[in-house]
Amino acid sequence: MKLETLIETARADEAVAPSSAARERVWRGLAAPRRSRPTVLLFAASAALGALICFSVIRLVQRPPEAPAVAVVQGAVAPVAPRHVKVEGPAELLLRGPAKVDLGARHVELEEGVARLRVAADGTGTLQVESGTCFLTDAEGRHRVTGTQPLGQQLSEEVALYERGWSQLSADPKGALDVFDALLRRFPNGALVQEARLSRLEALQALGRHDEAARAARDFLNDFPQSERAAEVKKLLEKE
Amino acid sequence: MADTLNVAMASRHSLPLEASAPAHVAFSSDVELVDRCRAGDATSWRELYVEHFDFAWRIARRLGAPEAELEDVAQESFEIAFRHLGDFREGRFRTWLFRIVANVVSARHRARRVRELFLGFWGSAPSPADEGPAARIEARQQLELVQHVLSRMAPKKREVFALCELEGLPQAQVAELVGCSPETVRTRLFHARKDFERACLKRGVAP
Repeated sequence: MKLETLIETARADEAVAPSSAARERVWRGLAAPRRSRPTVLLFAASAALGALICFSVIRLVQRPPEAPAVAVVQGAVAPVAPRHVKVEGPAELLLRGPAKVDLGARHVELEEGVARLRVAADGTGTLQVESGTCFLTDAEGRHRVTGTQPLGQQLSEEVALYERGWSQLSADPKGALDVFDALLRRFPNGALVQEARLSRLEALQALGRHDEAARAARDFLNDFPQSERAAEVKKLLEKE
Repeated sequence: MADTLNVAMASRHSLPLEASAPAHVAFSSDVELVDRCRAGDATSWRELYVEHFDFAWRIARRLGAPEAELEDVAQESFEIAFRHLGDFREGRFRTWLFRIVANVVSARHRARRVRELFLGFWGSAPSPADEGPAARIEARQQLELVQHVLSRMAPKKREVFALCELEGLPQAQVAELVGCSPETVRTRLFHARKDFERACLKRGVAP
């Protein structure tokens, strides 16, 4: 056989022209791809992946359940978000960071570590940081807590603020207004909220801000229709 | 041999690759078709496939893919093309498809050589030139020999040899398909002819 013959035979190769049947078979194969012959690497990769999955499942099953961020020793809390609760009464909590606790006007934020929180009915209590980093946010701002931190009496703070504002109402209605605004921000659900809003209304009247005073009066009556102070507020509203 | 091949090339008159598509299919431009395919138009997928299937098949065969593997090669090439259609930005679709087909065929040649190497260790790798009587080799065996030699050539030389020598394309068109200058095609073709001739001589083919 000569080289020239070989080349001519290759040029005349009939297999270079596909049949219509072949064209349709390949098209059908594209629509439903045929499984290609697995390679050694594909088998190895699949085996490795399968082993990894099995190992992970075994580890997951064997792993002890994760300790909760907020464990309630006694009392009741309301969930706010994952790892974030609100205390609604006397309670004792064991915290594992990260965890957050709302105490009304105060917030506890345990970034990491362990802390124990005890809260009494009047809002007093203790925050004991056993390990890690913990912050307490109150009227004075956010500060880091180490060791055991007593939680101040909320009512006494609220009363002190109210008395301060009340004492300023005649001589300095603007200063009094600022104090009452601060009190309402800090103790939005406090024991003196109605008194503070009524006094604030009086401060607005003393400042000549009658539109705001009327609005504050209407808001008060909407929020506290059965209040003992309602009659007082109506009188003030009639003046506007 | 070079003169013989040159004469044979000059006598060739048709360019099968250019007229391989069925005449009844209405063609759109490559760019329009590809855009419609990207948008998920199933009809356009089919049109693109029909327009370029014969080309892909011919290329695969010319590059030495065994007849029994041509359907697999074509399917694999179009699967790759459809999967990476987003990568086709400019130029001729056929040039882009050529590269895909050539790569698929090269990969199969490599895998086949590895298999034959391992089989050779066990003494069971068949040699195409050993089949049949030494005095007379049928056309099928000749084709297998050509395919065998092509599969062992370096990919760049194989592509140029297959397109110039076997398919009969002008060097300028080959240059566009393989992505090099016509001068480079000429150089590669010179070396490819030498390699092909050497390999055939080793297998008992007369010069």
